[in-house]
Amino acid sequence: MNIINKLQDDAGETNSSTIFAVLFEEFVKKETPSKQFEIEVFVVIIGALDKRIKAYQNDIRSFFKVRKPEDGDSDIIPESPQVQIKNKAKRSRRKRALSDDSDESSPKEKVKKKSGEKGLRTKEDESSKNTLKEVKTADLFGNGVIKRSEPLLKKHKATESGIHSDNEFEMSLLELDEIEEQNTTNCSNKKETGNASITDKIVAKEIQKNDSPSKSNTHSVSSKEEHLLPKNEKTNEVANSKETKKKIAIDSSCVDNIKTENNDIKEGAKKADFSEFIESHDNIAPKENTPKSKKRKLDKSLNESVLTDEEKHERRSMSAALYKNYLNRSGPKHLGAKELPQGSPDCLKDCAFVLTGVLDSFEKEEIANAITNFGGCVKSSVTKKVTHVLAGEDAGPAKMAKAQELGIKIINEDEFLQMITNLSNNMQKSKVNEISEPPKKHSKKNYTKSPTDRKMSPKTKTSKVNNQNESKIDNFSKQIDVSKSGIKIENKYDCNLESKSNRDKKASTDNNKSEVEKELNKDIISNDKIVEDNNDQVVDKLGKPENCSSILKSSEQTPSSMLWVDKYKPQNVKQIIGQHGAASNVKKLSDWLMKWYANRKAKLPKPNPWAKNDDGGYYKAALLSGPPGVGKTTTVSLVCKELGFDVVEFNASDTRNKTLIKEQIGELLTTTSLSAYARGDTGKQAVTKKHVLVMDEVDGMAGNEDRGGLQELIGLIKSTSVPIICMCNDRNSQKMRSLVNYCYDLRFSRPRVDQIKSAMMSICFKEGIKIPPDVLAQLITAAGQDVRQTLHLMSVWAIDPKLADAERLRNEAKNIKRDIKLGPWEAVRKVFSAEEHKNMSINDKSDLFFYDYSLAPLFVQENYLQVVPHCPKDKVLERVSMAADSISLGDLVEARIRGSQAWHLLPVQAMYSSVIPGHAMAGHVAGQIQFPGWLGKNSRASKMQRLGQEIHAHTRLSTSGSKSSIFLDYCTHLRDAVVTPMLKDKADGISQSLDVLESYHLLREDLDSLIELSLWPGQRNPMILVESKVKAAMTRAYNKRASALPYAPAHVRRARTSRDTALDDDDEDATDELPDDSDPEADALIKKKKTKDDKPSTKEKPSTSKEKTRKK
Amino acid sequence: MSLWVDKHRPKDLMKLDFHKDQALRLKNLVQQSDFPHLLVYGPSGAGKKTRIMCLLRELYGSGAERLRQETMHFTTPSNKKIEIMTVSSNYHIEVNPTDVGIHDRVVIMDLVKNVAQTHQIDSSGQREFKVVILNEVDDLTKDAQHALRRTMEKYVATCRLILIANSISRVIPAIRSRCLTIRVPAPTENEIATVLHTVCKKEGLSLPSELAMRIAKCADRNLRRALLMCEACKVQKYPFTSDQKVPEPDWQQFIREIASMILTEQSPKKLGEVRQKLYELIIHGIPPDMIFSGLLCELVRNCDMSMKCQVANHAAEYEHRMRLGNKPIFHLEAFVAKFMAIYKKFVEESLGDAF
Repeated sequence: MNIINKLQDDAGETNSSTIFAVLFEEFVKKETPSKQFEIEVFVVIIGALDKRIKAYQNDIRSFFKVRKPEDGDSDIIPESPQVQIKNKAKRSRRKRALSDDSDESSPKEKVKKKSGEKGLRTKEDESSKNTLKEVKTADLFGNGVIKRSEPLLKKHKATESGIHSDNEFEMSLLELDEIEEQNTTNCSNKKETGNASITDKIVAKEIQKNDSPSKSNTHSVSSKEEHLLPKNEKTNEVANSKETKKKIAIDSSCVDNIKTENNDIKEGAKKADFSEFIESHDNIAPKENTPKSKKRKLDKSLNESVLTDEEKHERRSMSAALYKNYLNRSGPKHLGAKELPQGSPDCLKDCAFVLTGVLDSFEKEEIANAITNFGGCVKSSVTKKVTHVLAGEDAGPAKMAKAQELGIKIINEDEFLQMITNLSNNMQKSKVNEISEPPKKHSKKNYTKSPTDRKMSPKTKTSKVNNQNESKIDNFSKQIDVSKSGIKIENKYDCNLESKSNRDKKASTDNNKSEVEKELNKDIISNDKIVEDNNDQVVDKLGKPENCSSILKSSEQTPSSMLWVDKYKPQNVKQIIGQHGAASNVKKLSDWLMKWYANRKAKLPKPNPWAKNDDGGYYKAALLSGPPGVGKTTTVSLVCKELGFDVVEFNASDTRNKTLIKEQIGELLTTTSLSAYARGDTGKQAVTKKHVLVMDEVDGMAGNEDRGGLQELIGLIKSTSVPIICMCNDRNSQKMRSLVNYCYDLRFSRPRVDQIKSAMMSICFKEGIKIPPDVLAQLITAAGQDVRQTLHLMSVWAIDPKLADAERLRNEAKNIKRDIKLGPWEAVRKVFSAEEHKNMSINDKSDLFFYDYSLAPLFVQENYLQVVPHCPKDKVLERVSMAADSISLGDLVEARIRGSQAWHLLPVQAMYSSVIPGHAMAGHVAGQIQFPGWLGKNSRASKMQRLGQEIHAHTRLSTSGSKSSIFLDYCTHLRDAVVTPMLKDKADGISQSLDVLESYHLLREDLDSLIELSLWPGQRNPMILVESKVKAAMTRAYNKRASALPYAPAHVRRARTSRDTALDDDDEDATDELPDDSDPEADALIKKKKTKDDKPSTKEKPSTSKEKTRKK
Repeated sequence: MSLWVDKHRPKDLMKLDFHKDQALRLKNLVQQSDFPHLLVYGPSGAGKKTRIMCLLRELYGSGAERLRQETMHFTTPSNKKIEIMTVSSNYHIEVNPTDVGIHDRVVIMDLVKNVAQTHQIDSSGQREFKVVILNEVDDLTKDAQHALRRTMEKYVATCRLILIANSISRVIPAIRSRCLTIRVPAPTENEIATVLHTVCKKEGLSLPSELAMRIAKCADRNLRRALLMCEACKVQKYPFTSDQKVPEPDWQQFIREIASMILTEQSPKKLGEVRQKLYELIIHGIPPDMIFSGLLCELVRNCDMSMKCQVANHAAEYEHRMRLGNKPIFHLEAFVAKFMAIYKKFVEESLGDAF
């Protein structure tokens, strides 16, 4: 303090005043209106401090006078210097209070000088000792004004803005508001500490600092208070440090400039120095736009106000562009590529994160969840409390800038993951080894700059030193030359950086900047480096965290023994491969589930089956279908988990027949779940009614055990009060037909190769195995894009010691392809492909037969004629006949196999039916592979046989031939005998036709069969030529005739038994009623009645049936 | 109103139009009252069934003509229910065991047992045995034939079997030796012509003898076919003219088409088309062996002698394979492929010789 006084004494009065004048000149040169206002503020301050400077205010004001009207502030048009000051004091008491003392001294002034006008003068004229003494305790602790200050402020702000239309003016007002808020908090802090002396001291300090150029009252105040300091200083170190910090922050607002000036003055700096300083300021100002410029908050605001309109516009457009980028930015590039390490639950305790940008392989929510799970917290904006900024791609420049400004550590994703593992490892290690706290903290400190250190830091001696340093810098830097102060600051920096106290750092930066200017920046950087080096060293000493983690790994046996499929099972919806995007099944399913209850109330109409973008609102159940290994079950379980549904799952291992579904599931769905209790929750949400019934593998519901299960399931869906999710592989299968109509259709397709590949690559990385990407792609294709299969195959490779050989892997991937089941289409193509034969053994060739040994010979037979064999043209037919010969031999073998169950002959059949034809016709398939026509032709042939047999049976009594005679001879002639009379004589021929039918005991249906039998390709159906009128008349006549048949017409009888067997036993009356029906069904009934009538007659007198033919 | 073929069927052994000596022998056999099992065989349309019906009438009188149809039910050892249509009178039962496919054994065992175990109630004026007629014995499975052989001996006292076959080559020797084999040969063309004339006379039509001969030729010595064709001719055009077109069965035309296709072009593509045609034949129930023989007949017309032998040899081989195998089309196709290969080579060689 003595030194200060001395300096103040040394500084010449005239000197200071001239310097001020120059300073103002410099400021005014900038010609920005807001600047003027600020300068006014300075003037007020200075006026409050020094009489002599006040004398110069006239000059200064003369500068302003010109500008005042521009501001549009009629209130403050000065008439005289005194008046102007008065007005100003009136205008903003708050501001004035702040600007006068810029801190704690303001309340006292408020209290004392409510009128405000006289305040300055009284302070000057009288000895301020008394006033100061009076103020300190009562005002600070006994007054409620401070509490009210906030609302008041707001009011004030409003009015201010109302009065002053100028934007810049408002801005600076806002800044001042902020400052005052800080002040008030300071005051409250003081209250808490409850020590008047501290405030005294601080006030003194403040005044002392601010007023340093003047030797007047303030000086005496400070000297007066000096004696108080030693007593309390040490006891109130904590408070002190805080106070100083804040104080500095506040001071920096408006006093900084002055302060620096003062310092400069005391160092004997001349005008040139000032200009230099100002220049440096100017230099920094444009830098502010770039995020990396380290700026104090207020410096920033100052310079902001300096910005011209163009710059502002530029900035606005820039931010608009940034926002656009933000909107358009893509999702994580390698989503799910990395896995969150298993950290201990509170390893991120006391860490606060800000997430910005797009991370490489995680969603923001994912990371946020992880952080909260690990005990950390996530902030939305960069504040002083934030310890880490986790930055990804396209990180917000503003956040980054602020983070850098605050000295917050910026880490990327990998560092973050590393951090979790390291931290949790440390914690576990300490737990395991039962190491006491200090080393743990130590390690923490070195690794992570954890917040505990921050907390510790003020308590440690470093902080003391810090404070002392600061104060020293504040007070002594005037004496110390630049280099010396640099060293001092170095020390300070060491402390600061080690403790990672942002506030300290900020404060010190302030000091640094203001005091030692640019040159020191270099030093800071070097200091940073040193600190880092130190950290590294400490890490080395402490550490080998890698070793620790490896030990831990070895102790954790469970993950290594797990199947990879389980190990790398997706933990959340985002990790499911190939299920991103708005149109993904995951999204659809979760939307559907979410809206399920709402949709039940909505009573939606049934959607058009071809409608696109149906959200399935109508359906009560969803049917997930897709090939195995694409993640259907995983999707369902994760989606349900995410939405908080309880899953009740039934899969193929459960018996799912009618009664079981009805009883068990029906019961389950009406109950409430207590599973949350089991998990330990006891809140209101513990009891949930949100179930989902998951019927896995519904296509497996078959056989006797599950009889009626599907029907019951459909019934359940109709009446369900919970969502039902069914899963199957093939939704087109016959079994699923009925179910499909009641389900929201979600089809899973195989993920693309590259989608699987990226996920597999990350697993490879985690497992530490090296598989070249192209080989991996091959493997995935070979596995048919089945994720599960791919994982299994990879896990087999992983334990292979000779994994490094990429060439070998490539071959193996090819081999795996062979293990995959081929469809008959691909198989038959291979059978005839000369290319494939080159590297196929005879076993491989016969394997092609065994993909489906029942269909393969048919496929070969159907398609061998399409093959173009690679041989001389004149040999082609020979080859064809060779193949055909072999195929016919293959048929013999098959007959043997089927006839006498000689399945051991199957390889022989493979040779004859597939390998030899393939060899004979080796070439390429010219056309498309056809499905065997034999199957269709065979069924048609057997149908014809059946018809022929029926006719044969009916005509048995009057013909003598065998069945084949019907085909060969009778059918055409019989048909002609019936149809020709109708063609020739029209309606008159009907009776003749019916006579033929009757004599051969044929039914009306048999006529159709006859026509079908006798119709050859290229012939016309003779019945078409018959007029439809005649045809109808013939049918009517036939029905009327009711001729006796010697046999019971099989199909009519069958229809009858199925319809109503009761009628059969009834008397005639019941059947008599039936013909009246005009129903189409009546036709069958009429016939039935007829046959019933006939039947007894034939049975009663069978001997006469033959004689009945005499009718003709 | 039946077709002529059924309308003018002779009902008495003595009224048969051809093989009259054989008819006489049968009549004598019946009168001797010693009546062994019979195995009647002969080509289709030769009059086997007619002869047997006449025989039954000779045995039992007109009562055997009162026929009724009944459906009988059987249960296979594998618990499959099968039913088969039977035609029966009081004295006999006729069944076509091949209707039930591979289960014919069950039919034969159960049916024969049923019939044989019941004695004739009124045996005074009648025979002591009933007759079981089995059709298409040559198409019976080997199992069924073996099952037949024991029952034939066991129940000989109460029932006689009359087996009808097209060819006895597929009847096992054990059965052949237990039966009196009666061969009913196909009528000669002259005999057919005579029959046609008689029928036309009964219908009151005049048939030119040339047309009758042509029909007989076309009918392939099959009397049934001849009569049906004759009636078709009458429907087509009456009064008959000697040069009028005789309608041929469609399937025969079809086979001819196939043969001409094969002869015009030999290539895998053509073979594919042939395959479709062959499928069509099979679908229409034409027995594959008839397709074989039909094709062979058509194809060898264009071959020289050595090639005829070769082709016939191959046809026989593939026909044999077809009988052993399941899928006739494979063997038919193999035969066609073989013929194409041989024929093409032959044509090229002859062309090469020419130049």
